[in-house]
Amino acid sequence: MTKKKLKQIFFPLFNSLFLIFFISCGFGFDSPMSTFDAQGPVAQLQKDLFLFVFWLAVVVFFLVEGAILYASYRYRQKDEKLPVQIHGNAKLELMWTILPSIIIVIIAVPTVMGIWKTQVMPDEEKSIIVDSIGHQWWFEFRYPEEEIVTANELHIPENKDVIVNIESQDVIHSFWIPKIAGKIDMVPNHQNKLWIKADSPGIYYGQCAEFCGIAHALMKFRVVVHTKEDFEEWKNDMRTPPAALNPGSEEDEGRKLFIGNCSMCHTHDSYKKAAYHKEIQNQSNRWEEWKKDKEYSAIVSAPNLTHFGNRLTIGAGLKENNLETLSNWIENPDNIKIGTRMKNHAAIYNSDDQFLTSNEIDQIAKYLLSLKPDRVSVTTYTNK
Amino acid sequence: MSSIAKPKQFQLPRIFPRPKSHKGLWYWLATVDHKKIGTMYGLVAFFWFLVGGIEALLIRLQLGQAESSILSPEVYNQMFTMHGTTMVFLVVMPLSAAFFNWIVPLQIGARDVAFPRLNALSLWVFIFGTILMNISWFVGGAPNGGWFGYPPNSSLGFNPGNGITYWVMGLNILGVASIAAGLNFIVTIINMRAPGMHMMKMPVFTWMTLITSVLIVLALPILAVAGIQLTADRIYGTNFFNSEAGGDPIFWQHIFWLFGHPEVYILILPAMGIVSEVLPTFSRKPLFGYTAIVFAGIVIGFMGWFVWSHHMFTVGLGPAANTAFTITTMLIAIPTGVKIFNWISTLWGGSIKLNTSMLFSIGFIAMFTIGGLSGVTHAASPSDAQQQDTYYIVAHFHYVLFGGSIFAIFSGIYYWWPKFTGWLLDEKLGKINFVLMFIGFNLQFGPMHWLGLNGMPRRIYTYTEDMGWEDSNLAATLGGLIIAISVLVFLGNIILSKRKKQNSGGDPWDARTLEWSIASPPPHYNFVQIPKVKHIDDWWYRKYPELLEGNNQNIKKQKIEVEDSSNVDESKIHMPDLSYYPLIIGVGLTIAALGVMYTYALVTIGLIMVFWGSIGWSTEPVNEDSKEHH
Repeated sequence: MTKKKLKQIFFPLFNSLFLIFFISCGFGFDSPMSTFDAQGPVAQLQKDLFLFVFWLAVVVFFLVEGAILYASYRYRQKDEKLPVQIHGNAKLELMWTILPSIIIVIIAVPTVMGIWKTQVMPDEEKSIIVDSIGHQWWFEFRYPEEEIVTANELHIPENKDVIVNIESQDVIHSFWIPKIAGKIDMVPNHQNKLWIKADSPGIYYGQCAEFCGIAHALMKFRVVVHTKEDFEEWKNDMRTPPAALNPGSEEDEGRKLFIGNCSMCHTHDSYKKAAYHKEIQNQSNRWEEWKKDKEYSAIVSAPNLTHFGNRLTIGAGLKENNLETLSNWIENPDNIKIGTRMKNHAAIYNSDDQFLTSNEIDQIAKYLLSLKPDRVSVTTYTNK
Repeated sequence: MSSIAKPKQFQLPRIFPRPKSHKGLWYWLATVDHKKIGTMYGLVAFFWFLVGGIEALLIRLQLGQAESSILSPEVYNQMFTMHGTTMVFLVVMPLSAAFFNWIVPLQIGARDVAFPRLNALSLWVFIFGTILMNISWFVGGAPNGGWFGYPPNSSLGFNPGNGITYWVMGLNILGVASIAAGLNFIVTIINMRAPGMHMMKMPVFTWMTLITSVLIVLALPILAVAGIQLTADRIYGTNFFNSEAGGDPIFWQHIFWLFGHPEVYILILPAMGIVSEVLPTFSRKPLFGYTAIVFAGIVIGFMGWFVWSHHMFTVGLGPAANTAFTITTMLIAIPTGVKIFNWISTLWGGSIKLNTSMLFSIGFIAMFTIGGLSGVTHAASPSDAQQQDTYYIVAHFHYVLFGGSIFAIFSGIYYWWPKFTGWLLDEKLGKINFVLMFIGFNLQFGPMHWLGLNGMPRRIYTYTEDMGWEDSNLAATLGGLIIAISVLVFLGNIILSKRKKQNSGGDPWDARTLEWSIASPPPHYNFVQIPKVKHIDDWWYRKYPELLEGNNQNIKKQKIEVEDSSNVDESKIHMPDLSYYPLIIGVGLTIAALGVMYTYALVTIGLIMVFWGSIGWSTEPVNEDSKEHH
């Protein structure tokens, strides 16, 4: 093999590797879902452990790849002579059995400690308890101690242990907030627990991580981490009725339409006393109904819409919540999200005499946006 | 031979005459020659490699940009399900089987496998199984539950339509083929080695075939059980995985991965075997630490059974289970490391010929190392909680299965091609093929590490621009296109080289093992005379006898020609006759499987064919009594 030929082979290889390296570095680590930007102790531990193993792996990588490149170049064929025939070397082979074993032990110790640290739950007495239930394709959140229920938006205070009880109603989903904690699966009839804790206030991204059907890519949620005081206010809000409507206003018309067409599946008044247990019962009834007739059931499981006007997003974390996106959604959910049960089951999409006019759709959207307590000081948080 | 009078045996009356000619379509349909069967395995699997590649390209095109709509979500889900299923069961396994078929009997000095007709059965059942699974595209949609098919998403309630049933029936049929082939190769390797070749003188490729075959025979029945349970849930209303009726979807995950992890080693051990043949040949020195490499293979095959729950770290099995499976998983890195270090030491001090086959093998070590190291990073289960079901995992296993298995398979193709055909593939085009594939591969799967760690989940058909994943995805898509070009170069290489037909002779590489001691392509009986084996790499030491005297300098090569088969009295060599019964059983099984979904009439027809084929096969003599007596 001549030098020229070597250049022909090795140069493109090196060039491509460098290219990939530079491209990759340019990508940065600032995605809203980046695991590098840990914002809580669980994610931090997972990130630190990863980086520890990663840097060890980098050392091994350079040694091994270096040896491969060096040997391939240094010992390239120069003449027809047979090289010295070596069959093995017991000492060397023993060494590279023992050395990796030591590295494995070095990695295993912090790993096992990390498993127990992240999977043993904090004291329940001192933690906030949240139940999260996965549905095709949205997240339900319940606060059993506070008797609050909401959907697609998890609210927690900063710097406080939260235990999330995780389950699924239908298929297997996975609950994941990359910046706060690694994922755990949502499995029907199987309760998992996840410990989360966020360092600072802000809005965090969550997404389903287990393939769960047609809209798997569109099953997201947001986590709003409040300051301690704001969290108390949020809880109060969730027990306060929304601002009163002027009779005859567009919102009021929307209310009537909503009650007539939407409220069998979407509860929107869980601020009321004792509404919590009723909503749990309702969700379970909707599910049973749907199972009886998956094609034509008149009611299906659906997100709770209490104080929808305060929600950041629609469609389970898909679009900003405003009049335009919301009307667009109500007009045809397929515009934003494929596969919703709403599109497949609600009479307004499937029965000729119940279609809504665009005016009616607007009225419903306006009504939904009006659903929030009459209170001025809502802190706005920024995306993390 | 026929001087002893045999009692007249019952023989099922034939509908078609037993084919005799060694030419034409009938011959290929009824052949029991391991080389022909290997060729057909290879061609069919390569066809599915192209199909699976196109599926991959479509996936990449869809993800190349944020919110693109090249594929609908329905089709996207079918695409990634079938891409994974195809590449595992229709490509890497049968391409390995093609090498087992072609090479193992030649390496151990045998005339054929132990059960030639069973071998034909494996082939036909495999071929019809692949067709069965892919019929689903045209009759209401391909399987869309992922290659792992987790219930309840794959159960009838959430997945009506026949896609998933096609998937399960296809896997079960393919399982029959694999198990039959596995048994065949175990018996072949244990019983049919040439005199003198005891186990520790077997070529490493044959060793890895043996280990793989044992894994196949033990692992595939587990998948079959899972598949039958899922089919029963879907068709007969059982509740194995239905949590509402006391079943358990997690149960599926345990059995699937109890099969699924040994399956990973079924995919990679043959690749390790190929590399262990190519590296010594083109370094012109023996494999460093033969015993260690063989035993590392055995240990990997054994330990592969104790790690399955690392696919389930986020299921919620609890800290104790996660700890146990974390540790077993990390331990597998040790025998894997032993292999990598021994391969590098084989290069060390050699006289390395960097031809295409060798480049692919060196590329294998380099890329497989990356896959192994990223594997250790998610063996650490707390960090895996961030990586599970993200593109980081996609990157990892493609470095193992593409950078590993596929690179090794290409290395094997370039290495054994002259043995298959008698002519050489073009080296210049081969190197272009390698360089393009190497660049394309790294450009496609390298950035996926970043994507995964930046939070991109797997199996999503779309993502939004604000997630910051677009550049990496675009790079990956470009990489995919470069890989596609490299495969086209490979196909072009075959066509152009076939035109040139540069004669290779029997031993073009000055290689080491018995398959190179005979003509290329080998005659249908392989060896004129079954060799008597004295050493590992027996053919090498026949060429360089001075090495055995302890000489290590100025070794001269003995002028030894490969076996000449031009003046051989073939009637003296006892080879089995052709048989069409394996084909009939293969067709029958597939018809029966289709019938499970549509009508019992088809099941009946299929089972009658299977019955007919089995009785016909078992009562048909290996050789028809020929008229001339000898």
